Amino acid sequence: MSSKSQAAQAGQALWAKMPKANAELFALTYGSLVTELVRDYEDPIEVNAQLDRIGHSIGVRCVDEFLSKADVAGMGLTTQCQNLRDTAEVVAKMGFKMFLGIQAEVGAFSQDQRCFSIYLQDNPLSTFVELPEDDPSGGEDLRRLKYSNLYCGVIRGALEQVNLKVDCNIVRDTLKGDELNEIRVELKEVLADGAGDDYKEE
Amino acid sequence: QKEGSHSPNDNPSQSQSQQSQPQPSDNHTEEDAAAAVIAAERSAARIERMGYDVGYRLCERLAQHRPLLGPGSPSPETNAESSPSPAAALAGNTAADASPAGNPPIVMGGGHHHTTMDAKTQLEAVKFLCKEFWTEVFRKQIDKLQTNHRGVFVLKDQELKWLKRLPPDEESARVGAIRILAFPCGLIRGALGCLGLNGAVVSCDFLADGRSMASCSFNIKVK
Repeated sequence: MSSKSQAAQAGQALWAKMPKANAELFALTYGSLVTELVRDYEDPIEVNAQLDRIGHSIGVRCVDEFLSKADVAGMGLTTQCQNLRDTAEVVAKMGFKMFLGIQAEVGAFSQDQRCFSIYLQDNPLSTFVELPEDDPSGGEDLRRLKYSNLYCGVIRGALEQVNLKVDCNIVRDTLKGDELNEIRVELKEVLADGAGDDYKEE
Repeated sequence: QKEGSHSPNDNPSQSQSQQSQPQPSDNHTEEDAAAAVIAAERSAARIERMGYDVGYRLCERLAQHRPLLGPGSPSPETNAESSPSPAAALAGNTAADASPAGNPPIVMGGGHHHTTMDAKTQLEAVKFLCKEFWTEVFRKQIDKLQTNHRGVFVLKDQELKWLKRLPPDEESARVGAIRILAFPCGLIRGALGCLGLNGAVVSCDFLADGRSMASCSFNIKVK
C-alpha cells in the first residue's frame, strides 16, 4: 500500500533531521530511572504504573514536536489519517522512527479495527539490561516488571492529544525471553475536541 | 554508595530576601520560591545518585579501549608517611611540571584502603573526563579546565545543551538548573570513581548571565 511506504520514507526523513544522543547514555539513564523507581516503590505493578505516567507526559510533548516537524516538512499529516490503521502506521513508522531511530512494524488488527499491535525487533531502552532470575525470596516479583512500559505511556499520551483514548500493554518482551517486543494498542474512545484539556495542569 | 555533597548555590533564601521588598504579597512569593529551591535540591540529590550510576557505567565502557592512564597508575600502597597533606601541599606549590618522581603521591579514597594516584595521573583522568567522556555525553568537550594541581579542578562549560532552553528569568531558571545540573555532577562523580578517583566531591555552579543561560561550571575536589 502506498501509504505504508510513504510513512516509512517520511519517518526516515524526520529521523535524519533530529539531533541525536548517545544510545548508551539513553539506555543507562533509563535503567537508572527504573532502578530508582524500583527502589522507591518496590511493587513492580506500581513501578509499571509510574513508568506509564512518566511516558504519558513524554508522549504529550513528543506528539507536539512530531506534528510541528511533520507539518513543516510538508507532509500534511493532520489531513491524512483517515482511520486507526493509518494512525497505527504513523505511530510505528514515523513516531518510533523519528524519536528512537528504530523501524517498528504494525499488525494483528482486530476484526472491529479497534486494536492493533506494534512490533519492535530491537529495543533501545533495554540495551545491557537483564531481569533478575526467578528467586524464591521475591526476585520473582521483578518478572512482573514491564521494563519498557514507558512506551505504553508515550503512545497513550501522544494519541490522547489527537483525541484518541487508547489502552496500551506490553504483551511480549525480549527481556522475558520472547523473540520480539509487542505492544498491544486498543482504542477505547474517540474524544470530542476538548478545548478545556489544553488548560489542565499536569 | 557515598553521595557527593551538592552545593549549587550558597544560601539561596538569603539572596532572595535581599532582593525583594517586604510587602505581604512578596512574603508569600519569597516562601514559595524558597520552598521551590528546597524541593529542587531534594530531587537534585536523587538525580545526582542516578547520574553517578550512569557515569560510572558509561565511563567503564568508554575506558575499555584506552591504555592504562599515566606513568603512575593507581596502585594499592600503605602510606608510610605520617602526615602526607602538608608535604603534598608544599610539593604542589613548586612547579607542578616537575618530574613525577618529585611529586609525593596524593592519598585519596575511603578509609578502607590507601590507593595512591599521583597528581599527573589525576590530571590525565580529569582530561579524559573533559574530552572523551564529555564528548560522548554532550557532543562537545569541556570548554575550560583549571586546576591547582592539588586535587581541585574546575570544569567550565559555556554552552551546556541541557540548559539552553531555560527561561531568561533568573529565579525559575535557577530552580530548574539545580535539578538539571545534578545529573552531570553525578556523571562526573561516577566517571571519576570508575577511573580510580574515589571520594571526589563534585559541586556545580550555574553561571548564567545576560548573555548565556547555558553557562556552568563543575568543581571537583579530590581528597
